[in-house]
Amino acid sequence: MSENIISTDKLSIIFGEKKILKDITFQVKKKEIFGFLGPSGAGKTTTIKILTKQLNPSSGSSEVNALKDEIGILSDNSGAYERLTVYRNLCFFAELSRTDKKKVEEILKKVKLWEDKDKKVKDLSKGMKQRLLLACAVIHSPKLLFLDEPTAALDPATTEEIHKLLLDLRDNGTTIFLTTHNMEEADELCDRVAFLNKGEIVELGCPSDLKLKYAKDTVAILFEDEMEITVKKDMNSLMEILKDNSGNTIKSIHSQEPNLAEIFLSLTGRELK
Amino acid sequence: MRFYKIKALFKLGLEDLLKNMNVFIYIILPLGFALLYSRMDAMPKGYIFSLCILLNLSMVPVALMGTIIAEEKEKNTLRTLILNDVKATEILLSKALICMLFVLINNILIYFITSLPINTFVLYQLVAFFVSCAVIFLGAVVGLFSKNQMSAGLLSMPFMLLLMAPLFVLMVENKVIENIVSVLPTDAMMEIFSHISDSSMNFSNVGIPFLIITIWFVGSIVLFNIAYKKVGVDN
Repeated sequence: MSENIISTDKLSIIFGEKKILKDITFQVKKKEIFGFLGPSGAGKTTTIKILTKQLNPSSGSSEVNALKDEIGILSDNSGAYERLTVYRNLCFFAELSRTDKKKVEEILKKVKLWEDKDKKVKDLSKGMKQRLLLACAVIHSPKLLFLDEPTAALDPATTEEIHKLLLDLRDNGTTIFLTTHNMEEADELCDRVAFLNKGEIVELGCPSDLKLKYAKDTVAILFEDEMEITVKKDMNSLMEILKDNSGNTIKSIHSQEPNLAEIFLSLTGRELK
Repeated sequence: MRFYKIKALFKLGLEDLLKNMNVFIYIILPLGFALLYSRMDAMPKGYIFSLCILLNLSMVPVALMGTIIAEEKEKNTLRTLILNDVKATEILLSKALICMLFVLINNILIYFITSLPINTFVLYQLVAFFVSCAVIFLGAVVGLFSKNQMSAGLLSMPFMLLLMAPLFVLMVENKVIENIVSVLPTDAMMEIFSHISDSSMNFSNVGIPFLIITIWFVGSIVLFNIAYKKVGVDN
């Protein structure tokens, strides 16, 4: 059995005369958080729409190895019934998926909305509403969860809570396909990331591997007297510096790894915004 | 189609509708008119019944159906449902069932408010129900083409006026308009009502009106199918 839950092969889509996605090929493994990183307009949401059958590709193919009722989706245009309470909304989604109502309480506690269960959705803050929508998307314990910018414009505390929930879901076997332009979020959550720029995947891999791949060929040595020397990674250069500073104690040695945003910038010349 | 999904959609839709005063007015208005007119001695009971049923059939299956579908689009709940493994047909059926429930309740209440004789109750209700089945598809078409509640209100207006035209035709003397009105399902319903009322109903005098209603029933299903194929439930 394939270990991939999503596979695409040379997926392209054209709107009018503009090619939004250009032959993108990638695989998402089961039980991983796969980050799809790119600036606004890169084609992230379009990719989700193709994978969830909301759009047909112009060419290429995609395969999602999950039934429709095994998929959860949270997109920027998800909605809840505003005149009804948080609890009633979640009960409704539980009924739709034949999920035991006991799970409603469990999920509401996880997304920290149990205390507000009797509040009407229209009275919720943006962060609370986003947590409710996430709860609705995961109430049926989906095998595959698509999240389109789930923490965009949320405060750090809410973002942190959502991150915890996503890691918990992943640990319990849910595969998460996450689009974001927040590189810190991707770094914190994702097992693998793909950089999407102008409809093309320009890099794909594990964040730590990418950082090593794009790390500078130098290390920074910080001495006790706060003097910092940047030196090439080879042994001879290091030995030379150590010999020259034999009377000085080394405080730290850092390899100079870039963060994901810097890698993206170096690859595309664009910032992740 | 899955019954448990339709049941969940129906329960939630009903609950939501009862909390939505903006659309609940469509349900209350025909009843309000029935209560008001039934206190006027000058108007015959049969006429008040026909008038209020006409209002009910123009408002609930058309305007209400169109508006509640449009609201689901406006608030993004429709897309959320479709992405959560709910079929468009299940959503539309649940909405139609909610509207039909209110049509039926209103028809029954209007009958008792206007104090018509009990022996004709079933006949009146069956005819009114048959017409509402034809008209509900027009409401669904309004819902498919509307992006929000306001546009649903605007789009349903011509349909409502058309269905209520048998009331206005009495005020204008124009042969063309009279001919147009004579092929409307609501006019056919009024004709059948008048035969029920004076106990003159037989196949020869209600055959044509029933045929007109049937044609509208089939025609509105065809129109709905064309609209559905053209715009889908969430364009």
